[in-house]
Amino acid sequence: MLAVNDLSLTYQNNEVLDGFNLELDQGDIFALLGDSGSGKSSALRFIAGLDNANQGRVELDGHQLSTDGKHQVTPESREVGMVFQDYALFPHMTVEKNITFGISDQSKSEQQARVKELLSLIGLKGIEKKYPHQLSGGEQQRVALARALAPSPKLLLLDEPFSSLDKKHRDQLVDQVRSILKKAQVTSILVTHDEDEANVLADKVGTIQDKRLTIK
Amino acid sequence: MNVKTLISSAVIFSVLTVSSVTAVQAASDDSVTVYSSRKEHLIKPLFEAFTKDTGIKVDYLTGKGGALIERLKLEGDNTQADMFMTVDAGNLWYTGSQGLFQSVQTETLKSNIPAHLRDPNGLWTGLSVRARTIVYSTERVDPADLSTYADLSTDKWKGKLCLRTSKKIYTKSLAASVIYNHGEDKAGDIISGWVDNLAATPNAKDSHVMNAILAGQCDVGLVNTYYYGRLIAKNPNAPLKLFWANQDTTGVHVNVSGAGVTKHASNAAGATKLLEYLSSAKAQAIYGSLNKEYPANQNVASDDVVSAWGSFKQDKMNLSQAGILQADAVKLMQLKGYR
Amino acid sequence: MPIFVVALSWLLPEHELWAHFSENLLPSLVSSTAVLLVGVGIGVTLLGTILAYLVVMVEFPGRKWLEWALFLPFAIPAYVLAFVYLGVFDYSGYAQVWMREVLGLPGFDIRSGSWAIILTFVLVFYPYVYMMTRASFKRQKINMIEAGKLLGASPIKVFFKISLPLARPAAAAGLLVTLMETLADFGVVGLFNYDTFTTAIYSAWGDYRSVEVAAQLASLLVLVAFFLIYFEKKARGQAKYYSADVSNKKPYQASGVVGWLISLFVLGVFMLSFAMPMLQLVAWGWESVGEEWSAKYFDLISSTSVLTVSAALITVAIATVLALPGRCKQNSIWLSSVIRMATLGYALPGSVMAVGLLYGINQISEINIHLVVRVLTILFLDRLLCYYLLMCLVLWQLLIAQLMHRLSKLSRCIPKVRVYWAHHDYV
Repeated sequence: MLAVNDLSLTYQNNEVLDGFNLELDQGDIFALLGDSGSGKSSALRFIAGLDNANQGRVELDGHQLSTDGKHQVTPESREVGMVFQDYALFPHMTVEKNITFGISDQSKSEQQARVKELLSLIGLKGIEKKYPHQLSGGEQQRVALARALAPSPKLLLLDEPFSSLDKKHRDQLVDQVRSILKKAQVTSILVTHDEDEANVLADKVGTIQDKRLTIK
Repeated sequence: MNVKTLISSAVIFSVLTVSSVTAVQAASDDSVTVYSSRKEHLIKPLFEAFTKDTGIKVDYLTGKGGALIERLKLEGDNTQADMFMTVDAGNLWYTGSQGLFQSVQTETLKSNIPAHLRDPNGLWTGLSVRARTIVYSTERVDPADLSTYADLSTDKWKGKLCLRTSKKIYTKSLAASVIYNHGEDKAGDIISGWVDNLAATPNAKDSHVMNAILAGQCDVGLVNTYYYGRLIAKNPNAPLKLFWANQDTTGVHVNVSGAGVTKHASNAAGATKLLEYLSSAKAQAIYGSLNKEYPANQNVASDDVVSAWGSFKQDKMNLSQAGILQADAVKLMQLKGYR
Repeated sequence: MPIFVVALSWLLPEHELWAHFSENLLPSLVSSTAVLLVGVGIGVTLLGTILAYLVVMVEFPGRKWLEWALFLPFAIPAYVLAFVYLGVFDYSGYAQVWMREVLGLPGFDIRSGSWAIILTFVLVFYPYVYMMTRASFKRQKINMIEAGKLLGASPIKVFFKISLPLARPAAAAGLLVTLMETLADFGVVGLFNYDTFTTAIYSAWGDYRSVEVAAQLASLLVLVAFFLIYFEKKARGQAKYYSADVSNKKPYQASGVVGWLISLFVLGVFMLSFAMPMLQLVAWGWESVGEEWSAKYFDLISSTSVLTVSAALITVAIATVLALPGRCKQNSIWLSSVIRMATLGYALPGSVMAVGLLYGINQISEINIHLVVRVLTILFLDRLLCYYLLMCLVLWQLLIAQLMHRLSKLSRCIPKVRVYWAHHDYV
């Protein structure tokens, strides 16, 4: 379903990945473990089409997205969703507007139905009209997840989504996010440096060693 | 240095520099102090000649006319000024009307300067004359078609006239003279006619009026003669000429630069002496050569360049009328849409 | 004090003259002033934000130096630019002469109508909006734009739905300054002979010698200024969205034709608003060096620079006093109103300032105010003071906001700062 081949990239003038390969099936939840500076976030950004690489191909659902470290399909039309470390919610929009941002081509009623469906999926009802700064960190994180899921992406990327939460909330949320992802049946890649988190959330866990991916 | 010291030293420094720039040098007892809205380079040679001939020192301060008048008002009897010098009869009249001048009527002034260039009560005296007349394109206008200011409001000049903005003092004084010579109703018609004939929005400067004629935007305009003099000095072949307006009727509208002795002068005698000196043949010759103006003293010949434009009959309206009628003139122009 | 005095003048009406103004002049002045404000407002907002967005968010050829070059028009006073534009583009200017003679097009009077003067103001004042929005765009989290992209939004949608709304407070502040400048202008409207409120104030004062009517008109202008400030405050809203992760990476790369088109556009604005006028000024200067250069110019230059420097110093001093406590004591109502009033001083054209100050002094002239008069008549007649005051105020506030942000983690007043930032920052 997703195939990343022969990825090599430099991060802050160091070659961190060389010959990185990853293949995922539909609905897989994969966790990419590594220390900071290991290139795991850069790999994610390459898959998203945000940054270039020295080399590498990305194929999603039979479509060639990137070759030779450059992108044929722009991030706008990749149908790849992403949850950022700081969530990157739009601060001037309500929760509802944040979630519908990616589905503005749908009709109003479809959008509303989708918002309702997603809010019940993430277990936060009745916050449609709230602004991001009125929500707790955990709530913001789940809204960011709902926003990324709204356009039904083929692939969801999660870049350290739990790192700014405290330990108690984190354990609760990791479970919850796993069930959300499973319900949504979306192929996902989680980038994290926390092994427990990776083991709980993912079906498969990989680590970066010697600039390559090793699957446990 | 902490913030407080910085602030206080900045304030002190600023106040000191500002006051030192504006302060008049301490006046000695017999010297004369002049506030002038005329530029330094136009008055300095005259004052130097005066000091050389009489031994009386002249201190002066130059600035904007309006600001200097306000300053004279505010300083009241504390003022250091013995004489105030400015351009335009309207400004001189206003200064007089505010009680800032004292009456000086000496035989010398009366014989040197014609009556219409002096205040009837002797509050101020015109010292140089500027004429505001018609300028035309020699390529497109037959001077035989030109006659008076009022004629420029007739249909034959439709779309061919350029004028300076009504906001400039020279236009206001000219409009005042039109009111004086024709009465308010007829003057309103004349101004309306001008506005109808305009080829372009009134220009900010006389030089722009002449440039517009040269570029073909219009054919005739009204300018002060010395602006024409400057243009011709730069571009002797410019197809432009002056036409002396109203020669068969009231004469060319003139204005003056002039001066008066201040009400609270501490050295009124010295200031009177300076005023008389400025009206004398010697000083009048310097005046004409400095700014291509006409001498106010009719016994003094014009500068050669100026003489070449020909002699003309002056409008004999007493120039205090330009001041008296100025507000009416502005109101009339505003009503008739002359911007 | 000027505002207070100007407001008092309503108690001393001069009926006849006021009737002339209100019946014959005000209707057309109000509409011409409104047309000017609306036109200039739309123009600077569009040009300023678009330029700022391009240089911050898009990588295109020549971006680096153009980003700084676009500030340079600040160096040219508005009326100087107007003077150059008229010299070049009016009927007798060489651009029009060339158009008529080479292209055979008909000539036209650029001073009639309002488009040319609006364009002039836009090219003079866009740096205000550019400066403010550029800083705001720089502070926007690049993540937010990437999130927008991954949600399928085109660059245009990202601009209008994310970047622009986030930069709205900054744009509103820049717009406010621009509109104040436009209202206060006397030089440009004079050269174009375009009548605004300021013209009427000068007329009442200069032509009719009526300080009272001038003050009445001025108080109307102050009302407009209050109105504008109110709207700016509303537009600013509650939240400010700052982020510390200033990244040099541009979210958009414009390569090929699109990149060059953007470069051309930005370069065009720079040429028109700075390079061309400067070259023209140098050319004219060169022409006149031979003819007219004399000591009087040195006099002018030296007195101008002394005035400017002293005005700037006083202003920095005042601004420092006003800006420092403004940051530290959030709850001091009177202090913040003083600052607001001082900022409003900027809203007053030189004319209003002068009317207010001189009128006020007239009423208390029994006191010997020799030195005061000297300083005031020379200095306060000059709008430079207000100009510097505002610029310094803005700079100080920005600087201090920045510093507070950096220090917030170390500072002993953490609770206060936290509260403050909780209000203003969504993180």
